[in-house]
Amino acid sequence: MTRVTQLGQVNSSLAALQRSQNAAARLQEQAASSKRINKASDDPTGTAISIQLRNAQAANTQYTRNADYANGQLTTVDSTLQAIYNRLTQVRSNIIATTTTTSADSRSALSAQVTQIKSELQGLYNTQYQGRSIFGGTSPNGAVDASGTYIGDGNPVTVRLNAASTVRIDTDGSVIGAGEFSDVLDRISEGVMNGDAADQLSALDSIMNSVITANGQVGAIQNRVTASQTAISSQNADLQTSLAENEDVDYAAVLTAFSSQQVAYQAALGVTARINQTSLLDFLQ
Amino acid sequence: MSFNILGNGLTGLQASQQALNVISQNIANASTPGYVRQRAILESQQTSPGANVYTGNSAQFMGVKVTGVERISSDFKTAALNAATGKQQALQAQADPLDNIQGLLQEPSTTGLSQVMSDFYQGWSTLANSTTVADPSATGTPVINGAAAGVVIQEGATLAGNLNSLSAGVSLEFGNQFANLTGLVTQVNTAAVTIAQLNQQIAQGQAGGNNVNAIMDQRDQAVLKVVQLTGATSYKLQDGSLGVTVSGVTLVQGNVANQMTITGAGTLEEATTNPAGLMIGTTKVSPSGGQAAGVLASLNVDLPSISATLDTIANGIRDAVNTVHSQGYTLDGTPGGDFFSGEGAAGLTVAVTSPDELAVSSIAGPSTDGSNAAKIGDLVSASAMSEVLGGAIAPQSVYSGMVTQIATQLQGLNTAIDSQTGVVSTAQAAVDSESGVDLNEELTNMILFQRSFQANARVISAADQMLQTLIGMVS
Repeated sequence: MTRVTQLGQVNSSLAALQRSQNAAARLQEQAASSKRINKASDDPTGTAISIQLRNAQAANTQYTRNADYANGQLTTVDSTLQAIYNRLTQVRSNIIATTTTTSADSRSALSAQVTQIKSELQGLYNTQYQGRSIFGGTSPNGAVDASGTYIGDGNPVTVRLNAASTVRIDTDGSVIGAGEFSDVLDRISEGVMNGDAADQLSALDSIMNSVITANGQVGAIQNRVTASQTAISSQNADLQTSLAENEDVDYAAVLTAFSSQQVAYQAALGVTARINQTSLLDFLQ
Repeated sequence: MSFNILGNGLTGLQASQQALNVISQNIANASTPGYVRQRAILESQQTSPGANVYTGNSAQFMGVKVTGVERISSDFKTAALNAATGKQQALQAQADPLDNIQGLLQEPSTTGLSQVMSDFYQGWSTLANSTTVADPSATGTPVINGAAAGVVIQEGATLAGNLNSLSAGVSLEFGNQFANLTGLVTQVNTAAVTIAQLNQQIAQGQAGGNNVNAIMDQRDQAVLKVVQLTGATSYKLQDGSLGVTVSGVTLVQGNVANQMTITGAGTLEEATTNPAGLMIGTTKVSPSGGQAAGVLASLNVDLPSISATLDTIANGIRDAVNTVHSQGYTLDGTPGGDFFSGEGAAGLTVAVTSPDELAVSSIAGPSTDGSNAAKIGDLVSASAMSEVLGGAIAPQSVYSGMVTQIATQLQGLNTAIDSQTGVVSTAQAAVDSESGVDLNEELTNMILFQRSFQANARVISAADQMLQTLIGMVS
């Protein structure tokens, strides 16, 4: 038979109370921080998952920023291409107008307008977005110089939309007539005066076609960026949910465990107090 | 029959008194830690048969005698408790530094190194998007986006600083643990000298037939101390003294205590070339339990490994970022240099001082290109990082691996500590059950010997009356 001794009772009561308090403290930490994992050693596997989820979240934050930037630049490219197309359409209607106008004054006015449009286009082709030419690749000097020569370098400017794909967010100026428009418009301006501007129609149409094609492409890319933004934000919501499921505490479970722990602790305290109260001394006279 | 009744009564009175004396000592020490209960050993006394020539009775009753005071302890149970305690201490001593390191790492959170690494690469991606803000055609030379570039340099400094402070934290922990080991050895040596002195007193006392139980209690406490510190084992010698050995090497033998010393360099840098160790005299000891075992494991295995891993992470980040950075060009076309410099987690610093030195472009001439910055930003992905490092494991994966490894080890240790605590309390309960004082038992014995005292007094009084009767007959 095991002898029950004074010190033995004290030691085991203390050990039991300590255990009970430890368990309560652990639950309290979880409830207070609302985190299931307060230290990596609380759940090593959960910690590894958390680090992964947070990395994915961080990457997504960057992809969102990239997509926002891409959207901004693509909008600028889109509206600039439309403006270029509008100006070129004006030139075209001027050419058509010369076929019915014989007045030298009118021709001179039409010709002057073409020259005016040329200088407008000069500005449009050199449009920048945040300090970078949108048609000049990565050239620091822009896309077109004063003499109408294409000076862009054609290097694509891309942004990363997700881990697997990047998109080009500029348009190569050499494809949309950045190097030709100046000469063509000079010839048209002259032709309007001379009455043979119609010869330049095919050259103008070719530029206009390339602009409208590029505009279509930009629209398609912008669609892709928007789709990617939507995908990332729904992915982010999923990641947030996973992270919460992984790290956050289940309040119902913790509070239930805590109150049952509390009951156990009180019982242990009560028993400890009673056990040490009674002894044979109480009955000796 | 002879008139030995008086004498018998006297021995009874004396024995009861002595037994009550022992009981009072037990009751007084009922709550003294390490006290081992004692019991008076009573033996009945009788002369050898045929010794009395007058009466012809074959034997004479000579009453009762206290032949000794027994110390009720089980060497086996005490050894089991000591071993369990030593193991628990070893686990706790190994877990503590890991717990501190885990506190430094702060994972999982939004402030740990993992997040700082992500932030750094994000800074590069943002710089890649808006490489330049000023109109380059105005000056002909592109001007870097100072705000975004400043962020990149700052994030780089934060990353380097974070690794520096982690490394410093591990070094500090190493220093603390080495100091801990030094203090521990001092305690062992003090306890060893105490055991040797008590051994001497016990051997002398036992030879002289004295009660040395209280000194034995003291010696048990000193042995427990050495066991907790080093996981030592003890054995009994013939003369009542104890021998104490640590991993088979004698620390105390009789009244001789050997000196324990520390070997090895006390710095993390030399932890692998000149590891910390313990010696008794000139012999190396490798404690398998006790705080020393835990502290040594931490000093020689855990902390150096964490430190080396941090160095791998720092060098990996430095090499990968520098490789990509030096493949690029600054906006004016100058080839890029190193972004990071320094060796290991302690030495990592940002080499770049001005935003103009950032090699954001991939074009060997003036441009507004940001594709090289984008490439550095892509290093946020472990696979891209690994590719740049020629197939080596990416620093971010090494880091999360390290965090998981520390956490798993710590979790294992904590579980082991919990279960070992159970083992210790069971062993403690066994020792308490054997050697502890049970007040009810003592009180019962007290009643027994009180009654015995009364009864013996009654015997003396009865003998007195008998003598009175005899004397009355004569007069």
